[in-house]
Amino acid sequence: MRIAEIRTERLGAAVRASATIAWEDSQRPDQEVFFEIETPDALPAPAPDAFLAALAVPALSAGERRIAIHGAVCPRMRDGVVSVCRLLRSWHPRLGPDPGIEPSGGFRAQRPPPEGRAGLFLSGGVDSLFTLAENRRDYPAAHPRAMRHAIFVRGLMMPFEGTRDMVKDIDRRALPRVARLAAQAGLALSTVRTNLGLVLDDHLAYAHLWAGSFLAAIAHLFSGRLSRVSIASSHDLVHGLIPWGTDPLLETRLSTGATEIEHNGIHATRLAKIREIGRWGAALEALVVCGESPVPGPLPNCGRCEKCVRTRAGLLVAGELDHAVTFPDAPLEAAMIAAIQPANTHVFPYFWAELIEPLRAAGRPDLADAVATRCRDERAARAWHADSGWKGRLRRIDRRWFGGRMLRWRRNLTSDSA
Amino acid sequence: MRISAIRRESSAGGERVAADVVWEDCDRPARRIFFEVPPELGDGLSTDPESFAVGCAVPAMSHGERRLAIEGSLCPRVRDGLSGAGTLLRSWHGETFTAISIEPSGGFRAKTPASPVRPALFLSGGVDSLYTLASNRTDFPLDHPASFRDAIVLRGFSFHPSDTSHANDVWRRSSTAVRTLASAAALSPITMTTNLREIEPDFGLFARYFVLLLASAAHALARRVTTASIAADLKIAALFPWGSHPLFHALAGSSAVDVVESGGERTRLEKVRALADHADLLATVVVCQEGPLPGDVLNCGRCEKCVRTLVSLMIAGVPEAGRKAFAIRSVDAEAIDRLRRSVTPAATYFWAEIVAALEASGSGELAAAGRRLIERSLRAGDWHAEKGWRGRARRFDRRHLNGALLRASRGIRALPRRVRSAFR
Repeated sequence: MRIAEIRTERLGAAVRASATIAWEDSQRPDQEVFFEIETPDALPAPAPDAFLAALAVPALSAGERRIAIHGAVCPRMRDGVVSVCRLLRSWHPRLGPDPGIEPSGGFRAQRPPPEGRAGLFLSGGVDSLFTLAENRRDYPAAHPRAMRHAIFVRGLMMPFEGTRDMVKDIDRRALPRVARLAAQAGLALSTVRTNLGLVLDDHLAYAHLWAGSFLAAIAHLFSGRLSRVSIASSHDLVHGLIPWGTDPLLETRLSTGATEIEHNGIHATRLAKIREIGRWGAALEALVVCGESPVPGPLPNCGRCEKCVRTRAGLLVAGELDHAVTFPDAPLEAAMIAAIQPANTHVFPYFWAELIEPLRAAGRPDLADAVATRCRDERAARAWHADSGWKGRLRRIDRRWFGGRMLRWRRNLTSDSA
Repeated sequence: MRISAIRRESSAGGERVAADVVWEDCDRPARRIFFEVPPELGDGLSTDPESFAVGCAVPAMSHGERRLAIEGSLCPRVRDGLSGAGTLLRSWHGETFTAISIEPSGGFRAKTPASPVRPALFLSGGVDSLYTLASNRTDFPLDHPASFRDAIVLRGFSFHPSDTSHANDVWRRSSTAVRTLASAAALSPITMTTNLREIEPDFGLFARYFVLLLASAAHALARRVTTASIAADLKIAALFPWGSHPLFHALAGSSAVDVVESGGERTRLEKVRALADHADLLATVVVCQEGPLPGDVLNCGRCEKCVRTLVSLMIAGVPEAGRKAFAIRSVDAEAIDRLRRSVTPAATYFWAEIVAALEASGSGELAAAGRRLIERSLRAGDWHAEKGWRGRARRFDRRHLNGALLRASRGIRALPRRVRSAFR
């Protein structure tokens, strides 16, 4: 892969940083990658590190043997890319060897900005709101770790081809609320729009390999202003970290001499995060978790999708459901939980199980039972997929020795009887 | 556990920050824990409680204490980090590590880092920390805020019981090497002594979280140090539950002192290859934990770690003159085969890449000896995991015969040595 023509230009109110990428070992057309930044401060031109962080995973994933990049690269970023490639390969052995990093200007340490500030990615979701709430609680405004800048990435949930209208709708709902919260909390707010997601245009690769480096890349666009940028964790140590595209060992490696990337919040479960957010009214007014689209009406969350119902259940346990002004008023019912179509079999056991006992304690045994049933079912489904237990052994034998005939026969039988 | 009377005091050896540590829920002796530096470095010591909290919390968890009551106000980042570290350890080792409540008498309050920024590294003289130093010096100009200013060399963290001639000898060699290195690399050496390991003398437990104990020493220097780098001994491509797992580092930091892991992206052989160009650093490398060694010998050249490092240096093309830190400078297949008794399950982790490199370079005999060593290491792993018929016999012996069979077998194997020494 060659990354060249790194340039910055003014585009109305926005600054556009872009580069051209040419693939060398995979049959893909040349592409232009851009980031459009709207920010209250003037930003110096981004260092090549931002583009290297952005494109290392796509290069690894496509089997590119090298990344030749125009300009000088910070040696910390070089080592970070090696770390990311090796860690990802230890999780996904199908990935090829580390691409060599060949900057035309060699390796040169970046320096932190003179008045470097701390910032965070703020989407309006539970994880990032918790990171901000905790930071405000723990640090006085003058502390170097106190966050003073928020970055909102447009289309972060689905930065792919064919999702443009959905993304616009989600941003329409979230951005004004995030902006209000940032103003209230005394944070400067920048927004970033990028077509970086189109480089892989692959939902799974984004989730499993890339999301953390994607954000780290955007953080480095601000290396002239921010000396520390936080990415909120999706997972926690209580339920265990799983190989995922954003991880405390991934994006933090993509720091440079100028900007430190941090991964915050692994010590807190999602319920603990919701409890903390519940203590800050302004955060509740900015809470947007819903990825459905379009969501009609003035409220930003549909209130019915998996994430909405899960968050509302958490708010109920925290005693804050009545203050959750960004969700519809409709009562939370067990049928809603039964009707959920989770994205995968990991969602219920990982994110919902901690709600069972608190829901019971909060006087909603109906919801607790519904969650317990779904957790049990999803665990069974996972065991089925993993071929574990005696049923799994039987299925393995069937597949290996009978070409799956037993399973087909059973399915035919059940469909006939239905 | 209660930690109180955190104070600065002078001692015969220098200046210290000390505290009284009392166990509340288990029958263990109270201790006065200290971190001591030479008098001229005393101003860098902090009497904030972070060092003692980070150093004592996990031992408290591992012995079933219900709380950590500590004098003063504690950094909220330390509170969250210790809670995270406990959770991580429970996920690896089960409920041996209980959850504790952290109760600072002055509540939770963020601490302000020292100014200007002053990064330090823990320097033992081993391959990992030398690599960290070398890459920092190559990558950052001396006036860069990420350029190391201090080298912390810590006494009291030896693998061996402290205050034995063995531990003293390892310290003598390591501290001498670090002083030489520090002056050559424009670093201020900070020799720090601590008795923190008295809180947890059991190496098996200590090994599960030792990075936190190193971090506690950095927090003791919070009036001077802003970032403490700890060289990785694990490679990121092959992590496993261990006391230096890189997840610990971010959990061990505070609002005043960041704790970072460095060098984990490289394997040990890659580090040795990178050091091949640094003859000055290699002249002072100290990997050997054997001892006492005579005179100015830094490494015995015979033990597993010495042999492994020597073979790596040979692969990296370092000439014999560049291996002068070792009493024996060359390794043959016989030297590898002689490591029979000291091969542990961990040896496979390090030797696999060495054997691959030896095979690639056509060093057939050494590679074959390396493969034999790996086989022994795997057998040792099976032994520890009590696998196979020997494992079953060992389990039976341990459960029903109280280890009598193992003791008898060891006694018989030691017989020739005893007979020889009786006639000497």
